[in-house]
Amino acid sequence: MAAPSLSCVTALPGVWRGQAWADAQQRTVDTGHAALNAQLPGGGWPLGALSEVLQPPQAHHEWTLLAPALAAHLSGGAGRAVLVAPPLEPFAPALRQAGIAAQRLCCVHPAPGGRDAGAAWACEQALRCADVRAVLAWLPQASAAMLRRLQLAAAQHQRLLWVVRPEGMRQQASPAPLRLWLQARGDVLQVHVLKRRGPPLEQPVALPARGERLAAALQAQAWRRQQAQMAAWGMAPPREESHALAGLALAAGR
Amino acid sequence: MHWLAWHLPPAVDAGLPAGAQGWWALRFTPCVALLDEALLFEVSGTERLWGGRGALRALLRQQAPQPSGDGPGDLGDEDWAEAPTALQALALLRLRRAGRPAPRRVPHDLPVATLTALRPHAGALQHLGCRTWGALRALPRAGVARRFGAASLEALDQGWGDRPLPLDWIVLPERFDLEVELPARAETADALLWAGQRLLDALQGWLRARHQGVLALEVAWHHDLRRIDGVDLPAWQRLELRTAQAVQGTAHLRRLLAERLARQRLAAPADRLALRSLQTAALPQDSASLLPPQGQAQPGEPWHQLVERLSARLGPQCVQVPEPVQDHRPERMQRWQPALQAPAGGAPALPEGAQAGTPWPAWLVRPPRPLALQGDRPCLRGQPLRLLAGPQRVEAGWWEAPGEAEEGLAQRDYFVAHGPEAGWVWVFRDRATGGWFLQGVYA
Repeated sequence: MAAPSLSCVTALPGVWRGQAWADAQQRTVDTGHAALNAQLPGGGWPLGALSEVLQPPQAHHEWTLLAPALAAHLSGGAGRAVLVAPPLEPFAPALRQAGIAAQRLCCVHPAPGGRDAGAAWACEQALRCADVRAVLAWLPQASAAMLRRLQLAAAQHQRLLWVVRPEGMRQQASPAPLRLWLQARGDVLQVHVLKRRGPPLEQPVALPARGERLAAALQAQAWRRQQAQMAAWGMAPPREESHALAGLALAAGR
Repeated sequence: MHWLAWHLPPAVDAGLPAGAQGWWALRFTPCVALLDEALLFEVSGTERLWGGRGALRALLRQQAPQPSGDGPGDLGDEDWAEAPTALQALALLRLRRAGRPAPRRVPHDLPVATLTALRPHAGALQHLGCRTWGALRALPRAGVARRFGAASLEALDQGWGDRPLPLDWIVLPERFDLEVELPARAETADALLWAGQRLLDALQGWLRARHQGVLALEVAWHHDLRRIDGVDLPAWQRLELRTAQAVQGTAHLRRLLAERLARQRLAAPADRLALRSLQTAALPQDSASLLPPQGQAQPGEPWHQLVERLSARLGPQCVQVPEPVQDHRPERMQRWQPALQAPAGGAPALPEGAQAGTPWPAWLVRPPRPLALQGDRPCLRGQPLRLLAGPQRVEAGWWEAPGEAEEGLAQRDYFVAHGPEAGWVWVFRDRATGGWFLQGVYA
């Protein structure tokens, strides 16, 4: 008798079986990383919910993780993205390489202090705007009450909202339905899913820590150095190959 | 002819000149006049335009200014009346305000005291046994004229509709310029906001009647004192509000005014407040579509309102948009300008140049941070950096004279470097001085 009644319940909108969390009925945006998509409910960043990204205080992994999704989300239509209280200056040529047009960006620098109240206010206003499609905010000191307000505003207006906070906050409760903790381990960016609408994830998701262009540049340089060493030892003649970094000279002896 | 009479709130309450209180009605009909305590307007000429008398009545009830203190939509039935002539409508309104029921036959059974011209003679007429308009009209005209004056007879004829009633029609001024006396001296800028809201409501009525939206406004307040602490004060202090797109609703203007006033310090208590329109533009009338709208329109305020509100509270320099610039020096490749002054569509994108393959860092450090040296290796956070790619040579700016605004010739070798603590960073060596600098962060 239990099985038919359960199927009635799961037919309701917003109710699903625990095993079927990955295809939950939620609007999402593709993260651009297949490994991460597989671990997120709905297969991407949740639209209309606060996603919290935690990282070490001096690290800056935001763009590696978020740029593909932001570029894809901004590419259709005429929306804009608002960056609230970025820690450094975003470099427009790099973002254009990632597919984010500079004219679509707007930076808001609220006065520091006040436990990020000004920044949280700016976020909430931006979420209400019809032309804003995504908000990316750095709120190191925001309280849980502020985050709850932002979560409600994002849910009401169905916007993409990321909040970047230091990793020390991962022990504190948060109203965000999705919390990720980033850690760099050499060439790999480990993404720990601390909280999601689904079963807990034990193993971190491994993503490349560097962008494609940087990785290609480093690889080219390593190859050239190796060739130079081999030429110096007389083991093999250096072959001339055109490469992305053909114009760059060797780092002399470094 | 069909006349409506609306009760006006007392002038002290609104603080507006009497004429301005009728501006809201000019949107519906050009025949609007003030008579005694009521606003009278004639709608038979325009009611078809608004979809019939019933629809017009509903619109009027919705858009009439609410008496202050009551909640929105609290307009009672006792605040308005309608009748075939102006004086009958006024008489019915007076009966309603007094809480008395309307008589069965209008205008015959209207009490004489509801006509302004007959009020001085109400006692005498009562003694005559003449209580209603009909009874007075039945008396011999010559005798009534001799006993109560020709003016009362004329007023009765006008009320009946036998004679035209000359009225002083309200005319909309070309420019909006209103000045109100504050009910109490305003010590803080917040106190000005209450009177400012009244003025903005009047502005909304003016704009609606003229089918225009406002682009720039001037708010000015008059100082009560001419000197304070031995310093001469200007008589007026001004504030200018600007918005990128013409608006008619007051919600955005009120928020802007509140933000600006919250940052404003009054030099002295203010006793008068003025509001002027500096720039207005015609609003395009959008026509209703037969078909349901395509796609879902995003609810929410438009972009320019967000930018204006953020700039009003945080300051224009705190809301910035990037503008790409053609240059080889990374710090010159983009310029941040206030979003308020940015063109609406954003700066035009530059064509991707020869440096398309360069792996740029996503974060720029401005100004470049000097790095300490350990031996001949640059260090970041106490640890030496490994140079992984490079050098990329940049030599630019030779055309600039070194000065305060421009640094002149830049000769740099850029490297991608890595440190266990610092991650991947972008550093350069200044070839002129040999110093190392951090200019970008990859991750």
